[in-house]
Amino acid sequence: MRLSPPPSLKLDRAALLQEVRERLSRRLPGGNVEPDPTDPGWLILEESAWIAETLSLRLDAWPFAALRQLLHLMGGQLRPAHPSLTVLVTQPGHSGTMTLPPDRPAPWRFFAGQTEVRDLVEFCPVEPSVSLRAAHIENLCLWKNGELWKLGGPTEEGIAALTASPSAPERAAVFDRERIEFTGVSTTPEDTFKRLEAAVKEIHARKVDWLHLEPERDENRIRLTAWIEPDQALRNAIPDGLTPGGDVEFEWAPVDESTWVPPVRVADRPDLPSEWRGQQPMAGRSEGTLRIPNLPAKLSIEGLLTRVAAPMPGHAAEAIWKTVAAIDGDLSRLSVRASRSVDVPDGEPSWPVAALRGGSWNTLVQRDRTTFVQVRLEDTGTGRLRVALVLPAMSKPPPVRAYAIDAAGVLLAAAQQVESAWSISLPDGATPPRLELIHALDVNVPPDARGVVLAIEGDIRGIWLNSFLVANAPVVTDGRSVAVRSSVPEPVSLLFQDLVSPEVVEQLSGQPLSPGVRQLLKRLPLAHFTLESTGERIKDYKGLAVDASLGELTLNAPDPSGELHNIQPGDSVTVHWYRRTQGVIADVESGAVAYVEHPPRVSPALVAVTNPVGAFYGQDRETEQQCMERLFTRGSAVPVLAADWEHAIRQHLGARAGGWVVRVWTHAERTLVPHALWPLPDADEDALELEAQLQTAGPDCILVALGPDQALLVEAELTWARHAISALVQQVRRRFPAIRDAIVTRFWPLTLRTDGTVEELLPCFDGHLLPGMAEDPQGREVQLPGALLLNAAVVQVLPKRRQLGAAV
Amino acid sequence: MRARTPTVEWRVAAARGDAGPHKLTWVDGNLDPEQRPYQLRGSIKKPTFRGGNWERLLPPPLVTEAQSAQQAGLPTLVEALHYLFAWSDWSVQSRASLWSAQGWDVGLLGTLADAYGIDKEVHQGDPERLARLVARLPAWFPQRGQLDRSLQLWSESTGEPLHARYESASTVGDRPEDPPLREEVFACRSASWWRQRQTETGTQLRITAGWLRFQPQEGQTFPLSPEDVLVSLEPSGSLDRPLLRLLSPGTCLRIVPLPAPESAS
Repeated sequence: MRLSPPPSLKLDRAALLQEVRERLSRRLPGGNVEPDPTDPGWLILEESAWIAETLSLRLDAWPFAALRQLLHLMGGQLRPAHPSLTVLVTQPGHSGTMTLPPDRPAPWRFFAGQTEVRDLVEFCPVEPSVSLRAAHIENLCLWKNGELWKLGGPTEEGIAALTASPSAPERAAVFDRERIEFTGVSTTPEDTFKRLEAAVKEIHARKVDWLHLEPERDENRIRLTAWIEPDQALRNAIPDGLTPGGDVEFEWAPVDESTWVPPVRVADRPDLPSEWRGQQPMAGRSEGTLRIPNLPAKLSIEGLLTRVAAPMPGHAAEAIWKTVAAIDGDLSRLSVRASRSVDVPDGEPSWPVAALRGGSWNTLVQRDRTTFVQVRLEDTGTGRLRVALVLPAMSKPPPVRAYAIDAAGVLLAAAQQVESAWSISLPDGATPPRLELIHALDVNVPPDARGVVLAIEGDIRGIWLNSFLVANAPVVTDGRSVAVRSSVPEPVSLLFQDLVSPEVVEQLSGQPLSPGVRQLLKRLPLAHFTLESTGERIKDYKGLAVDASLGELTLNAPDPSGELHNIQPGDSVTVHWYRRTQGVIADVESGAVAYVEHPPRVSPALVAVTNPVGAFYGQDRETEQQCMERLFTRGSAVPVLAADWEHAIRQHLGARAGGWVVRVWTHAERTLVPHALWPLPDADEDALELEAQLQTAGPDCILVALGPDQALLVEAELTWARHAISALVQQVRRRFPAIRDAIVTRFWPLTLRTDGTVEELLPCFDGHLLPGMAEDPQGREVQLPGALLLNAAVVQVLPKRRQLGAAV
Repeated sequence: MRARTPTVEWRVAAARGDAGPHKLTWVDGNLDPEQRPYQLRGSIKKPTFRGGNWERLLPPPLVTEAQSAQQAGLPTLVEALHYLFAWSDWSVQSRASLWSAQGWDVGLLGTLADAYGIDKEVHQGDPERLARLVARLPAWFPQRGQLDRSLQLWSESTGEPLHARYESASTVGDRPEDPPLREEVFACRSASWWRQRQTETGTQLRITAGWLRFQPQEGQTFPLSPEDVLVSLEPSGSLDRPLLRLLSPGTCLRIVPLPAPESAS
């Protein structure tokens, strides 16, 4: 636990002078008399008291000044600021590949506008190459337990059509107009047609009331059209069209050559009993019947049953004709061609039809739960489609398959290649924000494809097209030529502080980022200089020393790896460009990045841009106080005590967690000492979950409570801390396997209301040491329990509130 | 008094709060240009401290006059300067020991203890505890987390008796008879954990004297592992929570409640 800094030893000159006056005035002739203010002696004393006060102020600063000097001698360095990262979605004018030139700044620049609290914030692309397609999302669907549900899709055009989140599932009606047609050519069409009509009547007599069969004749061409009509079964059972009251039973038998009957549900209508809405009917009393019990009287049977959204299986369709042929042997000699047609109603997804046409429906729905996303490509051409899945933080990305739809509207059965690009956790637009995992994929698309269907095996929170990673690392175009006067190290002041150097990238890579993102950051070109005499390029400060915080480049001084670029006196270095960062101020909220700038004739030209998630991971340069706290400790490679873990966690979290309370609880403390979890007396969902976790956590698991000492930690920061601490535990575990896991929870700062004196050092976690009413940041005021608070502590003590009029 | 070192005595008095910046009774304001600076005067019970020799820096006639006035019982400006600068003067004089066990600023000692991983539950901000702790930290730190070292640090620095007996396998063996491991309480590990370390007899859950016990009544007991701590708990005893902060977070406390002593009747 971190102690508060020592109290100030600064003297108060008035109090000091008063003390001296009292001591001396006792001996004045005439006793305690008011001193003469014009007496020069008193004036000198006042001056001296001021000198003593000033001296004490210097003395007060002395211990930390000495510590700073010591750390300076030991080579302690302030950690530089590092850039924030986010993901942008862009709408290109036409498809193309956004490729970053290796030695020039990228032509595309993205901005979050200036506001009352922040300056213009610029982001630059990080990925060396991203394929952007003119495309939009058409719809989202969910295949669950053999049924298709609509999950909505983009409601607006433009860039909004490139992002979509699933809405509440709604029944898909795409298969309601599914037709199976059997067509054949007969030499005796009249006779064949009569036989066909007779066979249809025979089928209807066999309780197959759900199947509507319609024979047709067109000269010598005979056609039988079959479709599923649930209401027909009810109409046959209740000819007057209104329910009589009580149970309704109707025929629902399969055709002879199959056991399949269409699954149906009772409609979700307000006039129906709530227990039956959306439910499947019960089996009837006799075989081949279904029953809906206890229906009110006088209900219209029209639309009472709805078909489950799934196509008729191929074997069931074949069985229809086989049954017809079995009824009349002459019909079996007729050579028929079966075809399926689906007339897609407005607002329904069209990809199931494309899949049925291509014969790939069964391949698509091979899993019990699959989310489908249909993307329409607005132009053709080569280039992959960049897609980002939005998933819960700390989740595992689901497998994704992709299928192309060709110009004829047929979904190709062969799955396209899908490659993972990167994953990153970023805060969403909720208040307070929570972290979401953004998982980017590159989908291979055939040149003539008109659409793509993604089959995602699991649930998603959203999907974005044309999404790419950006960092707040704008390029500073300098252009100065620096002449080297001697071979001694020569410092050059650059135009900005807080540069992005390899050390900064290394520091940023220490954040809980995926290997893919770390790899991209390492490949980001950082600076470009040229040696004038030879034209030799100096990239990314190689062989030069750079102080990223100060914005100072030192020529003829080695870089941190020891490599030195020897520049001869008289030579000049042209400083072309380098990158800077704005630190934590660039952690902008979602939707803040709305402006894109690029020169004309750049391909692809970008029409619009947005950031559906906020930026994160930005950090300001370390303050001297933070640096001293970090470095002033006994060096130890392995955390042993709980306090060692607290220190290691604070170091690992860095400046973002500056000023946070970090408390690590040992297994013995949390299992053998009576404890309580805030909020009290009624635990919230988080506390209940924590309690459940603690019950199963063994001695190899530490409990970490952390957060600011004045407010509650927001969800996004908590998730980030969980990521970071998990990584730290894994790292330490390799050397010290006694601790294998960590439970990270939110810290509740409490204010104790008491009129008594409190001598305990704060923060105080021990409830029985501080009896009284405690108030949390949400205004909840509760009597402190006589137990150890694992996720809360008293951080300040205030007098009790006086009720208005209490004195009267 | 002559055998004592004035700066050490001042540090002790300052750490105790007897030589603060505002209550100036500890300042020796007698004027004497011949005296050496930074001297300890008075008695052992009530020492006074004389700081820098201001008189030497002033013109001799002025000092002689001030001395005469003081001897006549009158206040002087030179004496007042002694009072005003005494605390700053002595602080500077004893700065060499600021970051040490003999340091006089309790806040700084707390920071130092914190840097070594000692919680406030252990030192409680008490200057004497802090001084004793800080003196022992360099020796304790390499062996931190070990029970015997932690017990030693606790007893030497706090002086408080413990409310339970803490032992490890290195001192009592892995299957001790005293306290009887067979009477261990089912507290530190889950049933599945013990199941995975099944001995030939296995766990035998039973309730005696209000405690749930798990060690088999006959045959081999589940032994203490080197990192376990065996706690013998008297009926009126309790765990010493601050001591737990000096042990590794993964330490497993194996608790054996001791039977109540039989009454004299």
